[in-house]
Parts: sequence; C-alpha cells; structure tokens
Amino acid sequence: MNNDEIKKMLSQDLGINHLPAEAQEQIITKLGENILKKITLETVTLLSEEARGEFDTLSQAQDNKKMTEFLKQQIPDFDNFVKKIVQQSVEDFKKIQKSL
Amino acid sequence: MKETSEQNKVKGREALLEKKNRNPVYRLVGAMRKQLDSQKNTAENSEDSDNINDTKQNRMDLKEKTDKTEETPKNNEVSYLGDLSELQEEIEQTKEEIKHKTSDKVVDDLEFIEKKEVKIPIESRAKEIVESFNKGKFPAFITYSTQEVLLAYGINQEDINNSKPEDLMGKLKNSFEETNAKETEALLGNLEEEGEKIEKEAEKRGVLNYVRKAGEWYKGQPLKYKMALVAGLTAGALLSGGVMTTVFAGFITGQRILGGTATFVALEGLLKQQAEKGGRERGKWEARRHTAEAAIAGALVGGGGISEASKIFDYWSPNEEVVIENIKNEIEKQFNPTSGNIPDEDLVGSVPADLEKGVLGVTGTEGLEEISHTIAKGDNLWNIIKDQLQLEGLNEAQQTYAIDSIKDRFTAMSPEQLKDLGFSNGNIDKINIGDKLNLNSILGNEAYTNEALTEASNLTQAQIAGIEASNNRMVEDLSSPERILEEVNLADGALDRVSEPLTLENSMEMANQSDLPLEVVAQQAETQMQTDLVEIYKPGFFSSLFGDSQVAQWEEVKNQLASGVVEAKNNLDNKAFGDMVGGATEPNNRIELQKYLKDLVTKSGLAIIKGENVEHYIKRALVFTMTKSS
Repeated sequence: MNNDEIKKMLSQDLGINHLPAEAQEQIITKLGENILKKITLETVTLLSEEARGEFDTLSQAQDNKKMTEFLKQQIPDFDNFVKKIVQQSVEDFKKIQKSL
Repeated sequence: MKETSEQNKVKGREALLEKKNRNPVYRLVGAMRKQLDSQKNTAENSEDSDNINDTKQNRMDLKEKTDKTEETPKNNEVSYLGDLSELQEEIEQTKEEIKHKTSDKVVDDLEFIEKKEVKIPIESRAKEIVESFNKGKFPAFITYSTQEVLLAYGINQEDINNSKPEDLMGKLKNSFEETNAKETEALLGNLEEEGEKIEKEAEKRGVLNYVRKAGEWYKGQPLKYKMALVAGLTAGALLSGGVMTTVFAGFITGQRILGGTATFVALEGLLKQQAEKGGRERGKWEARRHTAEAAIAGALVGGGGISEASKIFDYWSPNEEVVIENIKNEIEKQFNPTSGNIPDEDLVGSVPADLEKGVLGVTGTEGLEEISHTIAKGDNLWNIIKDQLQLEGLNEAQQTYAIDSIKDRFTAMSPEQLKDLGFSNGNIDKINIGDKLNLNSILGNEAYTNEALTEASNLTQAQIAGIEASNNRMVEDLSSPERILEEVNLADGALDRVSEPLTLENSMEMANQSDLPLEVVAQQAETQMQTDLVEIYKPGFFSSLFGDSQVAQWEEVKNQLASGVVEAKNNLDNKAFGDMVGGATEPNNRIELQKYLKDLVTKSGLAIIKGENVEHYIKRALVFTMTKSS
C-alpha cells in the first residue's frame, strides 16, 4: 500500500475525495495534527506531576516498550482511550464537512 | 358507453400497474398516467373538455406544473394543483423505493433535485460531467441532471439557455474549482480554529508545552509518516494506542521517524479496513496474512531490513493472538534502542521507499517492483495477466486455466474496486487506452498466483482435453459469421482468451485498421445505436428519464445475453428478454429487437460471444461494420 493509496482511503472515509489532491493532503495532515495534539492533551492531563516526570524520561530515552507499559499502567484501556478521542475528532470533522 | 370504455381502460391500466408495482420507475410513470387519466375524464365530462383532450399536451402541462409547485398558482390552476397532491405523494413514495433499489447516483440526483442544495455527491457528479466533456462526449445522465448541477453552481438560467454546451461546461469547470477552493479553505480554517482551541485548553490545564511539542514533532515528519499516522489512528487498527506510544516514545526529543510499530498498526488497520469494505469479514487466513504483511512493513520501517522481517514467520503459530503478540514483540525489539537495533537514518530513509513500491505480501526482494500496466491499443486484461504470470512449463490449456483463475479475481470485484485499480469504466472488458492499472492486489498476491498455477498444473488429462476442444471451438465460431454460439460447458478462460473483440478497440483492430480515429468511430457507433433503438422503441425513447416505459424496456433487456435474445423462441420468454416492465408495445418491441440483432450478426459477420450482453454486442458490431466500410 503506497502513500497515494493510503491518502485515497483516508479521503474517501473523510468525504473529501472530490477535492484536489493537494487540498486532500493539507486537510488530512492538519486533521492528523489536531488529533495528535488532542490525544496528547488528554493523556498528559491524566498524568500526575510525578508521572509526567516519568513520561518525560521515557520519551527522552525513546523507549517504546517501557512507554507502552507505563501508559497502560497509568491509563486503563489506553487503546480504547485513544480510539475514542480519534473517533470523536473524526466525527466532529465530518459534521463540519457536511455542514458546508 | 364511452365512459364505460374509459373506465375499463383505467381499470386495465391499474391492473397492469398492480402487477408491475415491483418496478419503482414503472410506478412513477404509472402514477403520472393515472393522474392524466383522471384529468382526462374530468375534462371529457366538462364543457371545456376540448381544451385538454390531448394526452401529450396534458403530460407536458403536468410536467410544467410539477416544476412550478413553488410558484403561486393562478386561479384556473387551483383545482389542478390540488389534485396534484395525491400524485406528489405517489411520487414521493416511488422516490423512496428508488432510493432503496437503484444506484447511488440516482439517489444522489433525487436528493439533490429534492433539496435544491449542493451536496458532495453532486460535486462528484459535476466533476464527472466535466471529465466526460473533456473526453469529448456527454455522460448518459446529462439529460436529467446537468441543468440542476449548472444552476447549483451559480450558472444562471439565461446562460444555460443561450450558451453552447462547451461554454457551459467551461463555466461549470471554473465554478466547480471555485467551489472546491472555498470548501478547502473553509475546512482548513475550521481545523486551524480547532487547533487553536486545543492549545487554549492545554494552556488552561497547564500542559501546553506537551501539546506544542507534539505538534512540532508531527510537523517535522515526512508526509508519508503523517499519512501513516492518521491512517493508523483512524482505521480501527489492532491497537490504536500502539501508534501513540511510539509517538510519545521520542517526541520530546524530536525523534524524526514514526516507527515500525506505528507503521505496523497503521497498515494492519488499513488492510483490515480495505478487506472488509464491502461488509465482508476477513477469513482467519486472510487476517493472518494481513497481519504478517503489516508486520513485515513495520519491521522494514523499523530498520530491521528484509532479513530480519523474514524471521517474523518463525513466530507463526496456530493461535492468532500468539502470532500477533510475537510479531508485535519482534517489531518492538527491532525498534527499541536498548536492543542495539536503533534505526540507521540511511536505512530507514531507503526502506520506506521500497515499502511504497508494494512490498506488502512478499517475503523477498522480487516482489518489490510495482505491478502496473498502462493500456495501449490492442491490450486486454487476458494478455496483461498472461504477460505477468510465470507460465513456463504449462501447456496451452493449463495456461488458459491459470490466466482465467486470475482474471476471475478481477471479475469478482465491484466497479468501484476496479476503478480504484485504474479501470476507468469500472469494467474489465471496457478498458481505455491510457488507463494505468495497478495490479498489485491480485498479481502481487502470491496466494492467488500460487493457487492458480498449482491448480493449473494439477489439471487432469480429461480437463486439459476439454479446454483445448473449447478453445478450438471458439476459434471456429469466431470465423463463422452467421453462427450464434451455443452455451458450452467449458472453462470460462477458454472463451475469454479468444474474446479480444469484446472491446471496441479490438473490434477495430479486427477490421483491418480503419483510417478513422477510435473516438470518432466509437461515437458514431453510439449515435447509430441510439438512432436504431429509437426505431425499435418508438415513440418517445430517450425523451426523458422516466417519460416512457420504452426506456425501461431497453434498460431491462440491454444487459441480457445477446445470444439468448437472438435464440428466443417467443417474445414472452422472460428468461431471454428479462422481466416484462410494462407497456403495450413491449411484446412487439422484443420481436423488433430480435430482428435487429439477427440483422447485425449477418451484416457485421461477427458472432456473439458467450456472456456478451445485448448492448455490448450492438456496439461492437456497429463499430466493426463502420470500420470495415470506412
């Protein structure tokens, strides 16, 4: 699956596949940025000051395995937690898109 | 007496309507006729009957008045419009049925016409119109939706009435681009606002530095990783959180690479989504293969390289969860700096490029090339598959079988899926010169190709003899102009292999290369076909979308087997002609159509090929005849 195919799938799902390719890219990447920020906001908010220190350390160490263990310990059902934020963001986008 | 006769007619029509009420289009037409009958009866019983005793005029009046329902009725129209409410109800009901029974395009049009507002599907439709026009012809739906599209895009009625079609299309194209630009601007503006809101909220919660770092990290990613990230998060992947832990593990230090785990999660999710698009659930084997494919890609991105990726198969287990867990662990190990496998920038920089060439589904370097084909004159899917498959060592019948097995994979796809692969018409038998086909998903799929080749190798002698005999029979049939092929029990591939003339392009090739350009002949054939059909289905054919049951008759029969229609013993043979859709002219029209097809067979000298439908044969024969005579 190449980049174009991924973009095509995303554009179809988001209902923007009628727009020019460049516009699709801009919208997808901007939406992605917002989603990432939103997940970061909600994740870090749930961490205590102490936990945030640990979070910083693990991030600086680029230790994905320990980061995974840490977040799963701090935020139960972390997968679902992320999924819900993403779903909400995409739904919000689709609502706006339909309203135009 | 006259009144009784009229009543009988109405009863007869109602009975027919009742019988045919399975067909929503027929219901709509029927409803309009019922209304007209009612109007006619009223008129005949009134002193003013002479003014409205012309059915055709009535129909025009009705259409005109239906179009003007939002206008204030004049005094002499009040009762007429009052009666229309019943008709309107019937139309609404019929529309609902159509919505459930017809294609999305018709539904889109109905919704659009109903609400008079610009919706995404209409924009797609507008684009289709522009693209179609750019190819030099109008799309079939233009008769009933163009005006609405033009009005919706701000082109005024005066321009519509007075401009040349090409000028209107130019205006539509400009307007379409402007509208898209406005929508893009609005969406980006909205996303920008949303981003600001998130930062304000982050500031309020005292976590702004984290959110900003996340944003900066993301902006620094190459486009392909941004796409992969969004894809992984939105595709309902195995573990959405897995993408995020990869991001978090490094975003503070500005780690540049998204990572193998995220790629794995993203691709696994996408493959699942793609496989299950049509509401189908992945089989267990297919799901495992996807997981493995995604894992290989993830490992490659993660820096392990192909040799490491192939080790993933060592983790194979009958238990799917165990397989997934093993693969995840392997990728994480590949990606964990403490394991000593820190991705080398150069390596990581080069591997995703391979990934983009279609590494999925292969375990070695041989599959890294993209399997694509740009259609040139004379190409057909059969020969393209033949060129791509490794057929060495197979005899002709075995090759036929293997090629046909692969072709069946394409045949099983929906028009939309085929369009995604580059078949611009969504039909494997209607390929256009210049179409760029992406054949990876079928010809790059080892499971499919291995199965086809293995089964071909294992054909029995009897099966091989049967295919060879069928191939020979097909060649004879094609050289025997007046013979209609019988339904023969043979491998489908045998037929397809010699079915090059199934495309208009190939018909022309068979006609010893006409001097006329393909587009011109194809267009001439289209026009000729419509002229001929008007002769068969007169009167009123093509006059309006739902204006006459004649159109419905043609729509029903055009996809039936041409051989079935020619060989039908009587005109009530619904198996050959399709369902009766109504209209007193239908039985006679069936006879006329059969005569027309028989004449075409004789004049063109082209046999009907197994599986060929009525419309296709007519076009092919007309193209062939025109190129022969030019």
